[in-house]
Amino acid sequence: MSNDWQRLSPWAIVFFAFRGLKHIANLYPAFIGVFITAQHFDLGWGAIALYTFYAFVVLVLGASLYYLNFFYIQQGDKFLIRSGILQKDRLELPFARIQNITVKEPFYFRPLGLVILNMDSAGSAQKEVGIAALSLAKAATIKDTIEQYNAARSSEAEMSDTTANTETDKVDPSTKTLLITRSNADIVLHGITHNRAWLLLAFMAPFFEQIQTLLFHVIEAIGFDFATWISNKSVFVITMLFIVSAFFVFFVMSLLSVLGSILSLYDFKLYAGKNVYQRNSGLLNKHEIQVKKSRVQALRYVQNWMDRIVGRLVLILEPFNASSGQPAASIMQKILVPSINDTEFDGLAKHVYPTFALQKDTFKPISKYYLVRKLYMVVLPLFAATAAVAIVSKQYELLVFTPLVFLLMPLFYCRWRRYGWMQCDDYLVVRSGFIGVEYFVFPRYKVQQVKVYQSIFLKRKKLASVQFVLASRAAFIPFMGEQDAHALANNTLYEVEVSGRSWM
Amino acid sequence: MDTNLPVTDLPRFEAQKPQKLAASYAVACVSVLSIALGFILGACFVVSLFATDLDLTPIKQHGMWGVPVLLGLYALVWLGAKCKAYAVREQDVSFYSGIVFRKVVVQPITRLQHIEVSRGAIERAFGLATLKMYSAGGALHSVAIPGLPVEEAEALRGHILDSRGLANEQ
Repeated sequence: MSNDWQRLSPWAIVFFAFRGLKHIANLYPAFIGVFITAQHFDLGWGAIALYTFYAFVVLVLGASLYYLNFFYIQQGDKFLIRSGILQKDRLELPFARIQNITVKEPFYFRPLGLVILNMDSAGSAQKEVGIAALSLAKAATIKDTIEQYNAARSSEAEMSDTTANTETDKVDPSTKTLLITRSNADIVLHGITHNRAWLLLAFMAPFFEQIQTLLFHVIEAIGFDFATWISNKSVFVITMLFIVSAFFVFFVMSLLSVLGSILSLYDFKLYAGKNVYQRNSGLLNKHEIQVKKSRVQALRYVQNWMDRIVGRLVLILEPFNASSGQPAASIMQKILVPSINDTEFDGLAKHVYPTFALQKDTFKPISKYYLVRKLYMVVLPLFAATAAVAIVSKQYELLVFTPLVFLLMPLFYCRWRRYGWMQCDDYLVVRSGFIGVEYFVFPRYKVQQVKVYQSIFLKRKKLASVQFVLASRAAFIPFMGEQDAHALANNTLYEVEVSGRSWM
Repeated sequence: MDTNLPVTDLPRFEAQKPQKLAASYAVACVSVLSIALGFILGACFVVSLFATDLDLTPIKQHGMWGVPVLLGLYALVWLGAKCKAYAVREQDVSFYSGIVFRKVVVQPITRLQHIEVSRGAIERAFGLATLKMYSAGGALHSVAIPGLPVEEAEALRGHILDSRGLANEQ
């Protein structure tokens, strides 16, 4: 690579514009405000179109300026990047610090054969660097350089450690074995069982009134007098109408979710390289995620209630996330394998954690005292509070409904039944859930911190709750036997402190 | 280090003798509470000067309830401060807290990302310091041991940095 500062391809302007648009879209709550104010001022569509055009011009101008001020250079074993229009940033990214490399192929780059190379660094910098509009070949060269550098470095480190497995060190880092693929049927099933489209409804909530008036206008325009029609119908017909429309909404939402699932997961492939796991998928935007094996903190088996019906589950490989403060920002960094069955899970789990096997019947339950505690810490106070409100407000007929809070107990029972834990070799598995179930599997040496909770009531009952904090998330086991809790905490601490194994 | 220790002979975190924080820490906590309350009362006083048409009769009638509430608040802060403690072993630091809902956080030193000793204005007035320890578990799970005499905080920091060196040499 040359020794001069390099500019991106001018096509990067498109990328910067889209990124700007994404940043703006993240401010959607502000738009709700703008929308409501705009309605107040009663702007016409012409004015709105004009302002949108202005906004577009500003966006493209901003993106162009950003492009003109963006330079990068590869110097030995590090990347230097200069960027920023007013506030100039100078970023130094040593290869050794690069944790994830992702190659993204957004739909607007695909006809041009261009890609975005994302490099994600560890540590306090919390920076993700994207070099946009590179040719596929160039991106591949850069990626290989970094991977080879890091592979050489880690094998050096292993050599000096003398614990290295020298056999596998000779394997070319670019050879990858295919672990699993997902068919279109699997992906559609995943879309149905993991319906995220409901979130859309929540975002649309502020506009319900507008949508309602719009609907009525449409109905009126067709010349259909809805109000008189409905006033002539029986309760049965109205109920049926309600149920049918609810099903319709459910159907549309599922369709949307399936569509989203296909867009992001089409042609799903999971590979294992020497040091990395790699996931490829996507219909329009081809997405490639790589996670270093050593960076994987935990394995999750997630099965929601719909998954349970169809006997599928989602496997998630959770890496250390540099921005653990904001879990939402790092969703894309996880490796998620959708819609697999138990056998496939066992196969993949064996690959990730060779000495681990999930034995669902060997889990230890938590104490029944959990239910007692929920009764007097949640249900009874709630009962007292609702009864007090009814009495103070002199609406005694409401007292009939207050015992309904005791219906919470069966729900707490479901939750209690799900809690459990098991040890398998060096791994700890925590089971939790409500109707669905989740198994959280982690090697104990990866633990960052151990917390033991024991109120004076729990101490009397010889119970304690334990939390294991990992770099990706924390696992919590409530109300286990005091001896078990202490033994588990002590074993884990011993393994963390004495094994000397790195968590990263 | 002997890695073949039988499980029953493992060092037990629950057998540690927690060390108390500096005696002046509870006083410092109470001072912070007093200053905060002073600000709130002062603000209320200023408001009452300007808003002359405020009806103060409910306060005059039920104001007596404020005394036990205030006393309770002070007792809570005092007890909360007195219940905090810490313990140091070769490889980890434990922090104890909670009056009724007791909690122990055990932080292995090998997992620390960085540590710092911080001193706020009130801590300086009492000759105290807070030792903050950050692991990769994220900001939510950082451990702060407050109410340490300055020399003790520095010594603890030194111990952690030293044993970290040892851990890295392994």
